[in-house]
Amino acid sequence: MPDVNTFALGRLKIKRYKAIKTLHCLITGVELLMIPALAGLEFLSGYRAGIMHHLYYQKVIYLGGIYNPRYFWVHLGLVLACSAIVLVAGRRRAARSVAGSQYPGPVVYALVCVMLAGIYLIPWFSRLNIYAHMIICLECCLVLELIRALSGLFLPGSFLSGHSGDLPEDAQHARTTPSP
Amino acid sequence: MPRFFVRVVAVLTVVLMTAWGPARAASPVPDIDTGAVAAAMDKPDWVIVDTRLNSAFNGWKLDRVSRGGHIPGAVDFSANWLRVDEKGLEKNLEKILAAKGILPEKHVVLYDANGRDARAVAAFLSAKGYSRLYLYDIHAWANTPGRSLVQYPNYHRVVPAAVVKAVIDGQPAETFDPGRPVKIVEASWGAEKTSYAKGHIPGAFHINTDRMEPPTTQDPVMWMLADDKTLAAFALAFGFTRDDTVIVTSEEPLAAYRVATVLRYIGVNDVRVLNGGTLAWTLAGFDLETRRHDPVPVTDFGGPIPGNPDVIDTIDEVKAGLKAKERFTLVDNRTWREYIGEVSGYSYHKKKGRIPGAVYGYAGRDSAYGMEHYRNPDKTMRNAREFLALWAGQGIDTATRLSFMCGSGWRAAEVYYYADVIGLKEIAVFSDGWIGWSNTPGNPVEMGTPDRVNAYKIQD
Repeated sequence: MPDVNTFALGRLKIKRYKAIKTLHCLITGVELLMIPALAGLEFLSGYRAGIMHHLYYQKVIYLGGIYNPRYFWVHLGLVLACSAIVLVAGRRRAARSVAGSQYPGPVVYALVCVMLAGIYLIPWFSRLNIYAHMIICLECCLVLELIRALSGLFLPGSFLSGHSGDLPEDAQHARTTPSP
Repeated sequence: MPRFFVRVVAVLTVVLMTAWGPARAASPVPDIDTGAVAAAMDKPDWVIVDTRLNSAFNGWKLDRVSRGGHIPGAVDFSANWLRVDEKGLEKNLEKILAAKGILPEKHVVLYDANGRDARAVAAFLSAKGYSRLYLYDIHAWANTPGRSLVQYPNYHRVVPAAVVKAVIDGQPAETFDPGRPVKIVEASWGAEKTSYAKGHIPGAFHINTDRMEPPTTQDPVMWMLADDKTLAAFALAFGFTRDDTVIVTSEEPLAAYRVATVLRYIGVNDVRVLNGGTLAWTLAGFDLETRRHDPVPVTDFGGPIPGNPDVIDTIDEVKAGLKAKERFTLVDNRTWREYIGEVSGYSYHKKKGRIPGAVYGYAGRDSAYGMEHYRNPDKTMRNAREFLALWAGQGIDTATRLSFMCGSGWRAAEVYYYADVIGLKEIAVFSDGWIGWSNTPGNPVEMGTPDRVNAYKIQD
């Protein structure tokens, strides 16, 4: 029969697990919302002068400012740094996580990187009114994936959680039971 | 004998009903004759109201009237306005009635030329409690020698839908040379899908305004009028020549007036605008077309470009003009909030304020795309006496050269056209406007309410 401390520790693990999982869901939700938002803006900019003028203005300002070619190496450096952190965090978590645990973070991150490179290299994208906003959104996705990767380290069973080992029974249950 | 008498009365009643027509027999509003209308012109408790299309008020001979124009002193309240599908129309019309002095306590003479417009307005006013209404047929006035009509000198610059339809159908049309081909153009910002593809005036081809005012590719972002070389290429690509007659239409009339003004600057001699845009066309009961038409390019414009450089004032010309205020007025056709520097009016332009010396000249109430002070509810040109009164209230002297400006020349182009319609000769558009001025380093800027305005009342 578990003592009081073990029980409290189990509750804490569950709370942390749920909080981090909620954060991951929010991140995924925000990332997915960006797709229709960007598509909608580009569509509307073909019909509404006000929207097109505003997007075009923002595009010129961003491409002449933080996305000026002279800052290319800064952006690339930041992306590589984030990539390194995500990879390290992913490996740590994969090594420490419980059997059967799946962590898609690095894959999603790699996908976002590929999209970012594609938008940067394929001229068709640069003609879109949302060009600058697409880059901003994808960079935001990279940051979100970084947060996801780092927060994953605090999941029970990860090396930063302070309590290696399996999840409490009810958390295991919560993870393996499909949603209705 | 009594039976015979009853029969006679019955027959006479039927004959009279047939002669007067069902509408007149059913109308509770009495008719009035020409002499009474003439007498009413001098009475302060009478108001004479033109209920026809705005173009008829301006001077077009519509509905087979023998002479064009409106009765001197008449105000306009078109039956067409009642048919506009607009949120808040009822309240807007009530404000218009009050502003024009069409009040329930006055005797109101409603005239038309088709027997329908005046009755429609009478029904509207009756429902609002107007009881002293009279109907008049302007044919009688036009056919009476010595009865004058007010016709704007260049009324032909803004064309009613019925005349455009006649032109398209190859019918004789007032002020148009028979046999001379007419190009119909639909102007809009953006690709054809923005308005043209949804339906346009039959035979019209589309012009994207970005073709003549391409956006800059660096900060500051602006949609300024292209240089003359680009405009020359634009004219040839769209098949314009100096001797063309062009009618410009658009869903939003601002675009039509902008393109029309630029075509006049380029040098096309006869450029007109459909009064009220696409809405005027559909309210007239004509169908729109969705089939696409392409312009036929030409290789020779037939004259130098720009052919009429006086249409557009440059920044240097405005600066020179502002130094000679007794001969020059810079009329600022933006909203009051733009004029006093509360807002820039544009999401892509952050600089606020006005050009020192510019006089507030009205445009819209709230938006940088509004033209409420110059338009009727059906988007047609407002009664000139009313916008001239607004100008007079701001001290704008029409004897000086008037240079109209706004953000980048769209609103100003519409005002320019109306000024031209009423016969003002010394007029131009300062196309670069506030955006061009404020983006030019070193140009002075003014903010706040000018002292001079305290003497004048800003009208809503």
